[in-house]
Amino acid sequence: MALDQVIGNALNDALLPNGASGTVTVGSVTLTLPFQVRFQSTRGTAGTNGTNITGTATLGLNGTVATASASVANVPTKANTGAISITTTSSGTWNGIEVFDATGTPKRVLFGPISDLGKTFVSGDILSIPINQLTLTTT
Amino acid sequence: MDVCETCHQPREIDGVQHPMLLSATRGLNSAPEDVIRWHLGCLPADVEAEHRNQHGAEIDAAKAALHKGI
Repeated sequence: MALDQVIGNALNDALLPNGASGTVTVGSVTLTLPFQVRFQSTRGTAGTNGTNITGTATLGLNGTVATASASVANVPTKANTGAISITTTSSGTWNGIEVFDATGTPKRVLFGPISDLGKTFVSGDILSIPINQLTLTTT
Repeated sequence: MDVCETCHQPREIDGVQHPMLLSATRGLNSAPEDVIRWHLGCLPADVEAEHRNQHGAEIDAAKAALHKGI
């Protein structure tokens, strides 16, 4: 079975709202806004956070998250509406992306990989997720 | 070797290391794809526009360094 499109959109909006402050409750979990994006040198898994890139500040979703909508393929999707980027202060490899809430001990909401290729960086480089490339798809 | 998408040169040009912008072409819930990179001084117009608000000073400094002596 698959989620109905309307329900999928509602779930996306419930999990990743656009607010810059306040809280959102999803089931038994309360999340504090705004959400933060961090980049990782070691990817996270379903149960374990990745290793954050040294010297990288916690990032705001400076690209705001679009309202959930069905794409041409009728897949409920949300995406960033502006680039999400940081300037590195160290060297290493870039492997992962994670989204956290803004509590004192941040709760991870989403995690995902980036490429296996071309990921080495040095201090002073900019790591960036372009517009519409940080996506949440519910099916 | 990781080269700039615009000038096809590596990070080091004539003995000078130039900062680069790495852009992930896919985000969450997508198959990992390659990471595109450019020298900060070689950004295409649309990429520069997307990042100028947050990184304008870095981009301008990189342009000045990259084109020095040309």
